[in-house]
Amino acid sequence: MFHALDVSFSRGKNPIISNANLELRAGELTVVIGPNGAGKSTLLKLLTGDLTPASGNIWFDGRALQQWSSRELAARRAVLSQSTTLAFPFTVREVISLGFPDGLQVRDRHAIVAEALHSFDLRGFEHRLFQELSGGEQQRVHLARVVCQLRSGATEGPKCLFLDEPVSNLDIKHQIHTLSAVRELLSPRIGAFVILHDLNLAATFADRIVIMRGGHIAANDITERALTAKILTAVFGVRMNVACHGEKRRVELAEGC
Amino acid sequence: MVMAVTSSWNSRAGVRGERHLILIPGLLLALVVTAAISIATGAVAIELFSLPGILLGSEAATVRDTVIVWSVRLPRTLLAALVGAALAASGAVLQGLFRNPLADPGLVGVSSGSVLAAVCTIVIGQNLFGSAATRLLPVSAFVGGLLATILLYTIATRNGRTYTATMLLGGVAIGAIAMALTGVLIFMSTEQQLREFTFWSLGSLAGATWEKVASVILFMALALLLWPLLARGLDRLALGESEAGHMGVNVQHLKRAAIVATALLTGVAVSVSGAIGFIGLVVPHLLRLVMSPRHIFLVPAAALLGANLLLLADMIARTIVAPAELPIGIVTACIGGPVFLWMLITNVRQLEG
Repeated sequence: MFHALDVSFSRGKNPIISNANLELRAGELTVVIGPNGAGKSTLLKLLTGDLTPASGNIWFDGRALQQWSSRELAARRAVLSQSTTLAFPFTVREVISLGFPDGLQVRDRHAIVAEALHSFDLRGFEHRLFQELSGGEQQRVHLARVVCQLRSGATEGPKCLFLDEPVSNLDIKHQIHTLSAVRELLSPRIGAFVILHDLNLAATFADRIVIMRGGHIAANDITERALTAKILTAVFGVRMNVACHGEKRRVELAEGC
Repeated sequence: MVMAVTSSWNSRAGVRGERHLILIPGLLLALVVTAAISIATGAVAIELFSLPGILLGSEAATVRDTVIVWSVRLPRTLLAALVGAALAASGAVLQGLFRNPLADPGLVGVSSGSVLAAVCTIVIGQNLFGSAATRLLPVSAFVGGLLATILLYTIATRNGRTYTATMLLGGVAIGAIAMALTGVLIFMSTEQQLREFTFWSLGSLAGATWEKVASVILFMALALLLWPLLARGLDRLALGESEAGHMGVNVQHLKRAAIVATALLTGVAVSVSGAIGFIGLVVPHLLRLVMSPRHIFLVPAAALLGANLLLLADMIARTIVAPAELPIGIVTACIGGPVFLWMLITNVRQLEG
């Protein structure tokens, strides 16, 4: 559904992304990994239209990204940014409801919100003030918001969820819950693009892994083939082993590190 | 005490989101009562219960009372309520635009821009168009407010983030420049014009006419046309410009609509009553302590509370040193100044961020 063709982006004289080619497919969970400053967030911002590529093109569902209006895009894709601040004292339910399209039936809203509160373990929080929650709780509220936006959006055509480090503030239980909830959302029409730091979470939940280094896409393949000791060691500069358990992979630090 | 009230309300946060259902009708009812008291109060006391008769043109009303009510008290009361509503609503929209509860048309130089344009119209316009210049006042005050808001937004917002310190300091600078230019014009002005300037700099509702009431209603109606564009967009903007964009808001349109709406409301308020400060700052902030910050409810509630407060302030202004009259800007500053300090102290963390 999303295609990036030869996309480059730079800030001043520093190239941030160089000649990136990427395809996101509906029904797949694509996880992006890479060291700090590899260009992961910039790639996400290019794909969501926050940034415009200096050269190259991005296509969504057969149309150039800049030809989509923000309203049309909002019905088809939802975005969780890395840091978001809230200016006024909204309740959790109000924050989650911000993503709903205008004119959505009240009954539908309630059903979608109730399900999201359940998926992200937020039951009982809906009338609390967002600003009084902990960092991890706030992150889960934003996840619930973008999931509600995506679920209440267009009823036809492919849709995509973009998450920039969605589990960075979460405890281990909620990391797993959250990524499971994202996986449950996948369908033949819905894909997800997620930036993660934890390689084993990536190995557990990803269908496809994109590895970035220095603004380049160093690898882009299904999880079993992308996660190899050789490339991880080269990209992260730390010696790593990859253990195979059937289909699953587990990344470990090599001895002597 | 306010804090105690606030916390007991917050502990029942379950109903917080629905509180507008009580607050808005309550404020409306309070406005009717305040307006009636305002009409009845003054140098000539008028019995409260004779008001309906006077307003409906009953034969029992004396000619004297009818004249006082219809040509003096009623336009003044309506003007105070409308100006209060316009200032509070423009404060609420401006705060939504800047994503910051410390934005106020008076503090950040929007009113000063309007005053400068209005004074320009009096001094320069009177030479060009004669007395017709007075009719241009609302329009020129709107243009002045618009330019000041655009300038401030350009200065204070970068990459979708508004910096509180830059906004407040930029506002001080814009206000200072506008005041300096206003000073130059005052230096050039005649005796008669000089008298009019006191009115602008301190704010006053004396000299209310039906024509002024009509111009405020017209400008408020224009601002109301922008309302559907604003309400949900400003809610989403609370998460930041790019988040609002991700949720389908055309952020450029939203910002333009918010700037025009603020300038319309501030401009017309300044053109009929001079620079009255703090209403736009204090009213939305107090409301957000007790009700949902969703703009679809906040802005109407702010308009109603602003109307109530300015009516009360006007009653104080015209009775406390009777038969003389205090400029109303002094009254609102006496109340609003300390509240602003309190807000600054409680918002220290956000200011430093």
